[in-house]
Amino acid sequence: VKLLFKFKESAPARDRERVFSHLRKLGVSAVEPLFPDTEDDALASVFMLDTEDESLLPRLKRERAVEYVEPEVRRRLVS
Amino acid sequence: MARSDVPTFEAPPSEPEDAPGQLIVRVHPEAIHEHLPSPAIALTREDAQLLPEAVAKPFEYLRESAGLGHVEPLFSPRRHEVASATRFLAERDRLAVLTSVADSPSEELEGFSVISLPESQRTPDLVKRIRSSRAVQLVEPMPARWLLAKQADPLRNLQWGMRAIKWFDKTLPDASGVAVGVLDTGIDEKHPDLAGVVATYDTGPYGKEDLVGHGTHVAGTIAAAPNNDAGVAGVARCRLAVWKIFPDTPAPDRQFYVDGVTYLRALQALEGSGVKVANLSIGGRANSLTEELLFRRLSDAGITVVAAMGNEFLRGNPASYPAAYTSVFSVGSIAETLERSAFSNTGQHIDLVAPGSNILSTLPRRRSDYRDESRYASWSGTSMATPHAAGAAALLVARRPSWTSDQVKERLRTSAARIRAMGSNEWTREYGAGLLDVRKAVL
Repeated sequence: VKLLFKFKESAPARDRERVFSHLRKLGVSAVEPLFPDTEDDALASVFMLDTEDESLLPRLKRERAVEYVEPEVRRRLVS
Repeated sequence: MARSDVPTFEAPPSEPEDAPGQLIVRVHPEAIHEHLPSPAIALTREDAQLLPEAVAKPFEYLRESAGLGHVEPLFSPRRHEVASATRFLAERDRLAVLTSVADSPSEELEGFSVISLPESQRTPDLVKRIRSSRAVQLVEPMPARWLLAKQADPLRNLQWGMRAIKWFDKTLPDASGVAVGVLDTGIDEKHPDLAGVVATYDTGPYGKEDLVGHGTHVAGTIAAAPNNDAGVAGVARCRLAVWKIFPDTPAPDRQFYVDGVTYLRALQALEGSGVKVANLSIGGRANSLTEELLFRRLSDAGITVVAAMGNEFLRGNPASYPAAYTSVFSVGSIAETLERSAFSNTGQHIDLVAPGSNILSTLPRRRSDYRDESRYASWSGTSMATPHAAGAAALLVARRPSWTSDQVKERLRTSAARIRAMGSNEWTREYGAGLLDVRKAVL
């Protein structure tokens, strides 16, 4: 499953780095910015990762620097 | 056929008064009556000599001095036989004038001929000279006439939805300066009804072809070129910025789902793209904070996002996102009966309804593994209702370029027509504020 999470815009860089480090220890190899080219603070705070570990979502939710975490939603045609 | 080869039925640019090189001449019938044999003349060389010299003279003058081409009796059923009666031109002229009287179906039409001559010779002096002959009653140029047909869209009569939203009732603003974003399965940008409409086309990691056809159908309802002798008309003469957000192959359940990352990045790209309206004929049950964040930003940026209510009314009528986000304008579907389409979701977040059952629009020219139809077909869904509202929003933006997206949305709601199925209510969960009314919206 793909997870999207957003850091609080007020979260300092060291707190964000701690989350990345934690994820690496849990075996998540790639965490990517969802909007890599943006200069906007809110959008630059959104990241995504692929995982099969169901415990990751509640763990990320507990992180103080994280505003929200959610699974990627499905959208389909409406005809 | 190249567009330049397509005949036009509209007035020629210069609107000439006369047909070039032709004159209508009427001789005095009584000058001929007494020379006609009974019961009728045969078309022989001998008969040609029956025409009095005074009547023949102006025609001889035309042949000798003005390059007369031919003389044709205007109302004689034998006019084609006259043309081949004799190889001598002067005799043909005489027979033509004789039959213009002898064969006429009524007295009032006796003596009329059409003569052709080089346009350069058809001078006012020449006309004056012929008119001065005692044998000639009338000389005048052949008036130029042309078809008064306007170019149209051959299938437009089948677009019941356009009638329902009163699209035909008013001359609508030109929205060519307005770009509408379409996030969908792609587009056939070379479709004859969409040629020149597509301003940008971002295919993401996928091929250019719209294999599903959904995006091309939606695009046609918004912006198919009107009055171009092809297919259908779209709601707005606007431009489209298209993002392909669906993969080219379906999921294992045979459904097409958006590529989430491509989709969210397309939403982000909308902001600052110059697009003023965006059409999202997609849906899903779960809400997303990231998606909602992006829609809120689009609304703040003045972009009116229009989305489909969803087609699951008979499967629990769940709220469908993005339509259910506060910042998104939500469109349900009605059928030809002007009642809710059986599939159309209802809910507190519905803004209005638009035609969504059996909507004729464009499809890609080539068939694909996922679609048997091509070029044009009628499809149903709130997906088909939504682009009617997106097109209307584009017209409104063209008319009121300084309006915010909230103002655009409010106008679409307040101008909607209350329909019978709503009873005396101004708003219902089934129909929102009523049926989209383009005529009233752009007043």
